[in-house]
Amino acid sequence: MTVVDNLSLPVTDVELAYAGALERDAAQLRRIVDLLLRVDVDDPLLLDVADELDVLSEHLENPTRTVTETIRNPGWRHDPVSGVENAIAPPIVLEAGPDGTLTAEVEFGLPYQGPNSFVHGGISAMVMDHVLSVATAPNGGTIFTAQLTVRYHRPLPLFVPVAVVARLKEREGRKLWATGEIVVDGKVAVSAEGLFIEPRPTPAQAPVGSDGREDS
Amino acid sequence: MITWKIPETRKDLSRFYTGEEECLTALPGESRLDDTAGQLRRIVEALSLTNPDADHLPSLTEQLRGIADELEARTESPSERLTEMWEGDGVARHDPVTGPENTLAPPLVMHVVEDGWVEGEVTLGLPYQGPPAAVHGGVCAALLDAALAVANHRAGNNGMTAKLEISYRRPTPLYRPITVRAKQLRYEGRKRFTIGELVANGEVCASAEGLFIARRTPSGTDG
Repeated sequence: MTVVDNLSLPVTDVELAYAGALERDAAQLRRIVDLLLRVDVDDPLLLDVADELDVLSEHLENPTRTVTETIRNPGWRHDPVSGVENAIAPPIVLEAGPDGTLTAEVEFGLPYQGPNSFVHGGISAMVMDHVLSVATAPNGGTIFTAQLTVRYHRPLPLFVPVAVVARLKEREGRKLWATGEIVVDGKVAVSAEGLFIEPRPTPAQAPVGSDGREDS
Repeated sequence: MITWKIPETRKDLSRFYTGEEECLTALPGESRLDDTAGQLRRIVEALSLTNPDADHLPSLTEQLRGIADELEARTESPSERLTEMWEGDGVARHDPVTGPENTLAPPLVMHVVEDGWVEGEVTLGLPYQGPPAAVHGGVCAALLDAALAVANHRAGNNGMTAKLEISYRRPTPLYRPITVRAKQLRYEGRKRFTIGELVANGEVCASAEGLFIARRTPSGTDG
């Protein structure tokens, strides 16, 4: 199996070191995202944590890159679903099988909760949108969702390993159709189909679309 | 599946409308955890705005690990926390879209507006990016699903999402105010039909149609 979500790996030594630092930081931040929902809401330690984070942010924000600069150079592996550098991503790292089907295993914790002890319907939709988009653009090109339909067959429990699956169904010019499921205990809990559109290649778009893993 | 004790009185994800409430979601700034989650959101975004600069690599791993370890020593088991976080009246504060205690949530605060609509405004930064300068399509879907659920509460009857259909008209911009609005159109038995949209710069970026089904419970139907 080939991991499909880390294709646009950094190339220079500085970029490689930067990506490594971001990934390690994100892993610890992701722990904190989860742990904040597991401590008492009035724990006095929360005040210290807020202060410590404040100091760290201050350090990061000085000097800072402008937003425009960052958007023009979005970096790698940053998206909110698969992005190992993004603390809000579970992250879902997809692998491609011989027939092109993408799969990942993930276990959702408290930050992804909607109804009690179940995954939020919006989170399932977010995951489906993302993995379908990766199925349409496995090499990391920019792709836009045009239409997404998500069906919820049974509640998706937290704290159990679930399988996320996606595949490309059809392509017609710049239109691509993909389908996918979230499966728990061999049963489909969520299924989805989506229509995705590749942007028209233009001289202005080419440099932006080619320097990172994008998806919609 | 996790075993936990479901409390007798359970919070809801948003408020049912009795004609007086203006805000249907949890108000940020009411707990100590809200501020800490706010600081965590800030650092997640600050990290996304750093540069690959050899002299200033954002290596905060050890400090962050220290914070995480300290917190970890004070946690309860997920089953205990589940019971605690749902116990009581009112509105839960940990939702991944509207919950001020959840770092994942922007958070989206939704108000009652006229004609059965609910509305809120959010501005999203780089952690929510999909295509360059645009909000991730999945994040749009999550915002819409949550907004439709709030609209169901406003209408007085909620349910679990059964089907969500989203049409993306144009990219939803990052760093611009996005209006998130939703309304329940009608219900039939346990089915609720609800719509919503994301509007930025006066234009609809994405629209949603949702079908929700009320859960069967011993005491009637409930979401």
